[in-house]
Amino acid sequence: MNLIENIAVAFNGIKSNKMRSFLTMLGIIIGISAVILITTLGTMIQNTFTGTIDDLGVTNLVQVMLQSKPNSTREQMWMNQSDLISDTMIERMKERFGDEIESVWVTTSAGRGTINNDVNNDDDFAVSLTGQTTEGLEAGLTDLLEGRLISDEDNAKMRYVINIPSDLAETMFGSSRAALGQVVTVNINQGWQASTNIMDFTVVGVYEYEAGMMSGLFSRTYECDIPIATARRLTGGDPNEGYYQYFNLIGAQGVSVSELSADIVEFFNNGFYKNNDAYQVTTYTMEDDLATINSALSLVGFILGMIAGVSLLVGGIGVMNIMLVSVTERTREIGVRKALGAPNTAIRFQFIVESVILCTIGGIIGVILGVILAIATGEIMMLVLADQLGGITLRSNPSAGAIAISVGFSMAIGVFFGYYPANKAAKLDPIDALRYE
Amino acid sequence: MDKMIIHMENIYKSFYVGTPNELEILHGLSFDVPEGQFLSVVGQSGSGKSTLMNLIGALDRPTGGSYVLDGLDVAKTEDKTLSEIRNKKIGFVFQTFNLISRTSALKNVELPMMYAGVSQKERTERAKAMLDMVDMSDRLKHMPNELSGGQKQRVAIARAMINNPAIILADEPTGALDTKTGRMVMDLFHKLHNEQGKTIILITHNPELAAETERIITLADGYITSDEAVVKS
Ligand SMILES: Nc1ncnc2c1ncn2[C@@H]1O[C@H](COP(=O)(O)OP(=O)(O)OP(=O)(O)O)[C@@H](O)[C@H]1O
Ligand SMILES: [Mg+2]
Repeated sequence: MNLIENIAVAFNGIKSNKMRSFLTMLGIIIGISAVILITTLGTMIQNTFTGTIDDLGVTNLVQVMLQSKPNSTREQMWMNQSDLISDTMIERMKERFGDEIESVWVTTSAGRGTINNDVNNDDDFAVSLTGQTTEGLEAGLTDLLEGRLISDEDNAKMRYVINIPSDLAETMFGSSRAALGQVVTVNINQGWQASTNIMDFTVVGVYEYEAGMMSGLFSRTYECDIPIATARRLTGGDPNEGYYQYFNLIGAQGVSVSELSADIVEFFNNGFYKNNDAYQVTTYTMEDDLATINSALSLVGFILGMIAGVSLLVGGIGVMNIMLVSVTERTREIGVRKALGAPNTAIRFQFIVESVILCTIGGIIGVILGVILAIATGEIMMLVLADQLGGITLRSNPSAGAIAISVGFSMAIGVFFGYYPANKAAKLDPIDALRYE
Repeated sequence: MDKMIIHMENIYKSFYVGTPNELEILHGLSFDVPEGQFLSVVGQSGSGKSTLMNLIGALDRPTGGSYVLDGLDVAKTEDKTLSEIRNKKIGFVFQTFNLISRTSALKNVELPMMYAGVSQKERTERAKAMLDMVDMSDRLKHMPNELSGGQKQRVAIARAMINNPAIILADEPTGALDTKTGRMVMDLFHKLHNEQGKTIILITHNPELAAETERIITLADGYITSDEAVVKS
């Protein structure tokens, strides 16, 4: 038996029946491209997601937030200050959980508005101000480029200092470094009713702004950080005690986030919120996000998997059918080969090789098509979901493993569905085959 | 005494057409063929010549009797051995050439060597030499549909010869050719017979061609009715 010879013969046969061969491969092509699409999209989304979480370094992030009680007896669901989570509660929580919590991250929105610098009297830029603590900023997402973060002292003294993103610094002052020490004027016109609408801040720090792929499409609101105590004063709150609808915390290394968040929910709801008639605390973790994404993915995967399975089955049967036709068409050739001394095994091998080649070509086309589809789907998802993704790039990397397995699997289909026709050819009686008209 | 390359004794062949209907085609044939003989088999259409040739060529087994080919008892061997016999000891030449389509002359001639497990390099060399012998070296890459009938038959003869078989079996090899090309094919057989001492069994309807051989066996309705040496004038 000669593999190369048989492969050449198989290619010959496929070439002389191009259209028929292509139609036969179609099922395999669709099936394999579906498989590649599933695996590539699946790993793409998973990689992107876990990659993002890793980037943020906040795999252990837990969001603690208020939620209305399902059997609330309160008639109007207005939230009172007594419903909110207070700094005192958070302190008590920290005492209770100690080492299990690495850091807590509270913020207070100081509203949205515009920002400009008097020096150049440029256009106003859209801005949103967030009150931050040093602990929160240190735990957070931003990389400081120049200057310093909002400090505890800034908070204690309720200073009018501000951290601005690098792109704003460059637009307004030419460079991040040049922005340090500059005074900017902020005009708050949306959000909490501010006691003073227009105020000046001194830039003390510039953090790195990471542009997403699609950010150019949307008008940018610059996110700037100010001391949380200052924000509270601006919004008319108690400067010494913060109240929050939600806050974030980061579990210590090695702590189970799901157990920690369950304990925290219990701590709040059996304590501070036990007698609250309308609100309780709930948590949201990255793990929840992962679970949601995973279940959505597995549903899509299941559907595509069904399509792939059915088209591979149908494709395999198509291959078998065309191989049977081919055996019949070439009955005389089989007879001649047998007369020339081909053993049954050689005939069987020849037709299995032909079937495998047919399926492998189908598989390879399927892989190429699948990769193209996966990349295209990734691009489309990025366009459609640009808002939700917030500038995260979807990286579609077709895995070499999936490609190898797909091609291997199409070969296996070729062997499986080619065996019966090949065996039929091998078992032909030489004389009957030679006499075949 | 010459070595007998074919020994047939009381050979029967029946076909089963429909369930109970046994159709006996050959009714106990016996003959021997010495090595190097050029022999022809003649007889009316349907007399069983091709059936006999299939038995000699180990494409089929007799239903009764004993057939020893070059020392091998064919009646009792399994399929795998039969294909080996066909590969190594028999060279078939058919009336309709039976070249493998979409396969070059060279590749067609290489085919029996492929089944014999000869290396690709040696295959090509030997096939070229053999095609040269049948005067076809200028048509190596031609596909069967690019060859004339006579050319096809010469390629087929080269293919039959390539594994240096003990016997060449030719079933009406000139039947599809005009007289002139038929003549060329016959000359080739004579050359193989005279120069290489091949045993050749030629089935033909043409008494003139039969007369060129050394011995004529006449079949009628599955019996040998005459078996005579040709007297050369
Ligand atoms: N596979 C078969 N099944 C049934 N009958 C068969 C089979 N092969 C041959 N026969 C019968 O055997 C008889 C002899 O056939 P064979 O082909 O040997 O004749 P032949 O002498 O070669 O004739 P021709 O000169 O026309 O080629 C015929 O009557 C044919 O019908
Ligand atoms: Mg015949």
